[in-house]
Amino acid sequence: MSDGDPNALAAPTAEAVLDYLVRSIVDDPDAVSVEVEDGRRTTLNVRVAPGDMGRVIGRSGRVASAIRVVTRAAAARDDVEVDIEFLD
Amino acid sequence: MEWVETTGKSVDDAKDAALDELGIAEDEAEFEIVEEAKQGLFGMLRREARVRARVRPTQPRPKVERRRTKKASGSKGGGSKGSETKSSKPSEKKPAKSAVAAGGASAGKGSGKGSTSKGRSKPAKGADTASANGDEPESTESPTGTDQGASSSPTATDGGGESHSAPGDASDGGDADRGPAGARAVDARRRSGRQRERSRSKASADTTSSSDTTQGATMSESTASLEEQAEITEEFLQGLLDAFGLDGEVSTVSVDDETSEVRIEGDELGLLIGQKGRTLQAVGDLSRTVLQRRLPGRHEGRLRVDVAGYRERRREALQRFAQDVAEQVRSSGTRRVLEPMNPADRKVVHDVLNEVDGVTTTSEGEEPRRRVVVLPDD
Repeated sequence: MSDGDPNALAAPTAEAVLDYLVRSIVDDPDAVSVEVEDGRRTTLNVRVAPGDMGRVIGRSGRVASAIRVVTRAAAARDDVEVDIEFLD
Repeated sequence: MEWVETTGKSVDDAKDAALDELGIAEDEAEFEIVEEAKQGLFGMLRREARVRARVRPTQPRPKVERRRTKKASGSKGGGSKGSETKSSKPSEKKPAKSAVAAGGASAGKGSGKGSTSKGRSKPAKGADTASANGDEPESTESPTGTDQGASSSPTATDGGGESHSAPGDASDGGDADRGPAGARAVDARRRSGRQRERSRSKASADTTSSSDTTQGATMSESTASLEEQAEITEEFLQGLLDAFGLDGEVSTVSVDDETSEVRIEGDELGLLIGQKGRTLQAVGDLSRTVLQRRLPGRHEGRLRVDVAGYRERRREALQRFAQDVAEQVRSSGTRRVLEPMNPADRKVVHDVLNEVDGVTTTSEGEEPRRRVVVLPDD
């Protein structure tokens, strides 16, 4: 799915921030992974343990949208715009 | 404390809107349902649900076991709001509902269309009634009430301990196999984190043991102090700065007896504030989410997050703006309707203009487009 070369990260700051935020919130941080997918826009795919999906999304998507806001702010440091997808 | 009133397609939607208004997490809020939504034909909405909400006064209420039980059983975070009005007895909906109705009715009467000042003092009573109806009769009337409290304590303790230890251990373990970006963040964290690391493990040890001993004892003891909350929030924000690759100082200032503010100070922090403070708002929301994860249960007082003095600057700007408007209204003699503002901002305007002679203020419109109106005297 991704041809992301780990040596040429498209959005290192956004990735680090997203990873940090998600790990801070879930019960199972080991199961968290962030994958960069380059396309027309850079997409950051977040995977979490199935049981943690609810935490990451939050009621009415509140937590997920806060994560998106902060991660996009981080992406500004990488001079890119990113989309964030939560997958389980 | 200021009440906000919101509407939505359902009670849950209205509550969400209220939480947005207040900018707080759900378990910091106190709700009253003024009106349930009414369905018309073909699922068309005949009347929106209407709720009132405010920041919950700091006095703890016996809700902790329930929430912990839920958490321990692995249910998603979504459930906790229901506990406010319905969950005292999940198996039986009727009594809970009537409690809500009672609270709603008494509040509804006090808060007839738009009269804020009246509405504000009354609902407090309504809330009392609601909670009395909601909690007390049920615990006496249902044997499961006490049962639940007792049986939940062992599991709840486990759950609490787990959620304390998990983030620390695992983030270190998991970091190893991540790319350079991850490694960088970790390095940064290690670099600045030695001392915090120690205080964190101390903090979690403290809270774990305190939840051991206080489960089933008095609730006030299991309430996380502002200091504990501040410590966890500081640590989270420091980690966030590191992940951003930004330099900044994180510290906590006591604003008043029940409010502390965790501040990030430094250069080039505009990124963390964002347009109209949106990023700051999101950072605050996430801090609360993390706090809830790390310190389940009740939290004493209120903890705010600020970046580079944004909140204070915003308040000052609002004060100046309000004074300018008051001057115009006084000299022109015509009323002026301001832009829609959130409740906190409106309060600043009301407070400032309360001190100014020659004008009075009121609010009109419905959330989220409620606005302040400045009127000339006579």
